[in-house]
Amino acid sequence: MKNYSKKFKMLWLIMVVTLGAYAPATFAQEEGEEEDAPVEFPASLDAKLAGLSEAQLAYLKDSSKTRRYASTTEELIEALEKRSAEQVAAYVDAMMWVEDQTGFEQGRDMAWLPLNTDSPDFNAWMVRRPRSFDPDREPGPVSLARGIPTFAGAPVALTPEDLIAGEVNVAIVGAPLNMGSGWRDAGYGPLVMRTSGGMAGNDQYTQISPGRELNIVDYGDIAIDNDSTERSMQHVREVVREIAETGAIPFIIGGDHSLEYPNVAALVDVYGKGNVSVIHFDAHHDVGMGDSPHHISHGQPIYRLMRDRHITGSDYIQVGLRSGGPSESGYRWMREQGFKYHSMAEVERYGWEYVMERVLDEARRDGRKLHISFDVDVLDPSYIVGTGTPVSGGMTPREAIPIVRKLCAQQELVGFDIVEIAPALDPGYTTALHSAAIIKACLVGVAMRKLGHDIDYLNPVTIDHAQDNYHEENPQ
Amino acid sequence: MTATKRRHLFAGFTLCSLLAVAPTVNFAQQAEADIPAEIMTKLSSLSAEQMDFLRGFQPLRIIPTREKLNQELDRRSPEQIEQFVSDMMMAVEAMAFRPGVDMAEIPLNPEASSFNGFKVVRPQALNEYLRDPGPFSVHRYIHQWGGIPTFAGALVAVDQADLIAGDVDVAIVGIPQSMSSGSRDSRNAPEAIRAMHILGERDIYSMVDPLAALNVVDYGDISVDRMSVHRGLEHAYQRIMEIAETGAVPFVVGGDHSLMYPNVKAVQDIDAGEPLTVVHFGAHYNAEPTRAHLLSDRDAVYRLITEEVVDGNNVIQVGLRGSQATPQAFPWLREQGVKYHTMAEVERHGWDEVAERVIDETRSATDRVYISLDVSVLDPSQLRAAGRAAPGGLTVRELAPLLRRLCAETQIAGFEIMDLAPMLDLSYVSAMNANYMMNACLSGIAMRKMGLDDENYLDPMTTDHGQN
Repeated sequence: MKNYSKKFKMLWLIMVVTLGAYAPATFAQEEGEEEDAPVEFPASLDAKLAGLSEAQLAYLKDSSKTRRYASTTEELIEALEKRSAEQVAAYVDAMMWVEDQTGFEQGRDMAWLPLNTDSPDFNAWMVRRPRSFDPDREPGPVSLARGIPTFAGAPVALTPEDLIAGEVNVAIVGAPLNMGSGWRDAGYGPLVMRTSGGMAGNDQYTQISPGRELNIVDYGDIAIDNDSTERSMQHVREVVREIAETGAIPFIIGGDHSLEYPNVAALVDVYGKGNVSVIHFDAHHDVGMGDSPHHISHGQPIYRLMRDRHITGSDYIQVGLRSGGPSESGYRWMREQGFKYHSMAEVERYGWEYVMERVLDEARRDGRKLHISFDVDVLDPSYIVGTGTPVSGGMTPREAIPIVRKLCAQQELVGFDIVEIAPALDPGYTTALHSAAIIKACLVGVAMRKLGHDIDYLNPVTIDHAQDNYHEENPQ
Repeated sequence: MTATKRRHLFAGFTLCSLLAVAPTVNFAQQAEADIPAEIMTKLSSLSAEQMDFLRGFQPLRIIPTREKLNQELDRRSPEQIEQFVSDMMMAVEAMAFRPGVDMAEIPLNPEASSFNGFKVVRPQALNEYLRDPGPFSVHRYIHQWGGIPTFAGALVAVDQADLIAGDVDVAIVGIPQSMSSGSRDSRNAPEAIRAMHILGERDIYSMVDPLAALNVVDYGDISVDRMSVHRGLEHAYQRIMEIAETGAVPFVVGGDHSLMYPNVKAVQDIDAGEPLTVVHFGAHYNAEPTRAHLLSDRDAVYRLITEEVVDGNNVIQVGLRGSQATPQAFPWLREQGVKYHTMAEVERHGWDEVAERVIDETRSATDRVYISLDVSVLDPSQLRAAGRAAPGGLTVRELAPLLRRLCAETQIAGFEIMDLAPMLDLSYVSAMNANYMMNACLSGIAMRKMGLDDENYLDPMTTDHGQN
């Protein structure tokens, strides 16, 4: 075990070194603009500062260090004036102590979380059931049709052979990852989305039934180690990849938003670097910017994708941002990385129609294979009560459904995920209902594209009661 | 990673012993099985290795019983059996750690500027406004109704100096950790408990006013890493230790039950010469041995016993009924000397007898008692916000008297209430009943301080209308 451990450490070291070479370049600008000249203290403080060591004094004069305790020089001077010489020394010592304690220190802090490699069940959570355990059957989707709940009421497929034999267009798969959210319950997202239905029936807007136009299957759930997001990532990526390799579009039902990392990484595995773009619907930016002790969580899947060089910021369009982050410097960084972001502030300024057209236009110009990552918290909490990190002031279903339908009709969709559905937080049914409507909107879009409809298609029978020439007689 | 290095990394608070514990304890005890003659005739093409596998305990990790395994063999042709056995062997092998394939450790990011940010305690010297040590009120009025919510409406203490200056008897502290193996919301439990009344109110059974009899404080929350049980362990341990060192009894509001490990360890380590008796209430036995992760709510008891933090003979478990306890679980508990009281026992003997037995066992164990209360011990109808709820639990009227008595009639060194997941209850009932359980113990501690520690004391004025 020791030897293998060492190998892993070497691998890790290589990763860290690679990352080290990458990270400073991306952060340099941000750090550069924060530098300030040393603080000059008034002579009235000389007596109190006389007892300080050079290091203590230098620290006190560095406003980038003291800013978090006294936000302006005036406040700092005020804080020093009210303290005795001893208290001033204790004040500086405390700041230096906090800095020392906050960062990583070799020997004091763990750089790894240990696992019990002696456990006979180390991988038990993800070992697949061999085919020989069950009675023989031909490969292909199996219809349950006996009231057993499946995604979209679709037949079940368990292996890539099933997908190939069934010429499957869309494989809906659950990933019950439950680590990241503020209120945690996203692990039950797949369950509630299977039991609530509403994904693939007739769509009145287009009069298209995605279940009829497309070969859709329920691909079961992807195994998750709910004691470690990191350990779950590789397996999710494997399963999403095996779906995409058959040509089917993986629709991943989360689970928390950490899943965006393995989902997108798997698509890049299959379609190649530079060939996939992502539209990220979310109240949160989820970039993370790399400064977390953990390499993956639901707040940083995009940074991890960038760090591991699967994708770049310019491959991203973000829609619906309105949480406390990113900060101004965060937005600056995202801008430098080429992210196209559309916050709710932008919607306040221009109105939704305009922003939607802009997103559609940006996607059309990009033209590459598309993955949509849809965090249900992009919708207003009044529609999606059951989500782990809700934020007020979100989109309505009447805004979200058309943009998702149009995107899925306009682009070559290669992947879709919907994440952060937390049923325990919603005593009613509306979270599942609206989530299903979003999935359905995309499925309808995929079917529209297959049928050759343009993205603004609405079935003529459905609108204007199809009987008179009202619009010709009453032009807008 | 060598053992020495690992010890070094844990710096004083070491989990290295976890790795030395043989995890296969449950498997080794299975006897080799006979295979019925009619099935044997179909096995002639199996290799010796395959036959050994089939006779051993490993197939039972996949197929739950010998009978079901035999059924599986019976319905297959010899060729199918060969495939079936070789697939089972592959599956069993795949369950174990695969060197060179699997991560042996989960890498963290040492470059993070705030690597330890979650646990750095704010030094008093940094406060903008200076104050003398001691618990202080966050209320404006003499008799505050509402206001800023604190545990029991108590005064606030921020650091150890406050506890010492205030001669604090009980420090209630939250640990908002949400890594339950069931529904995860216990990180919101401290908020829910603070926002609900009952805790700190007069106990009508003993006519004791716990806040009058005791110096109680809200010691705030202990910060943990939300993404890792491990990373918060040492810090939780130190903060609980810091409370216990002053002589105050830590009352911990979890958090999931993995925290039982650092909590009990801290309270034990404070007085190494005096072994702790742990009374663990819960639907789940929490002593699974074979997990890939070194600590979770599923194995906290296993860690405490195998690391000899507590002696199995001094562990009493009450209310077990969850399916976590496999047939191997109870023999293991018995070998360790754990005194377990399942709900099956309550069905047989009735609650009063079981409760009496728990008190007897606790009194005759050691002089310091730690109560670990997983809210799952109560029936979901009375406490539906249990992270790992299980039907058929105790009622409030069964559990509260036992808690009051244990806390009055034995010397409580620590108390914790774990795995309350408030989002699972739309009503106030779970938070209220959780507060009520805490108040039963808090009142017991007050009774003991007031000398009201007679067996099953109830105030004479409150019973029999005190008149005839």
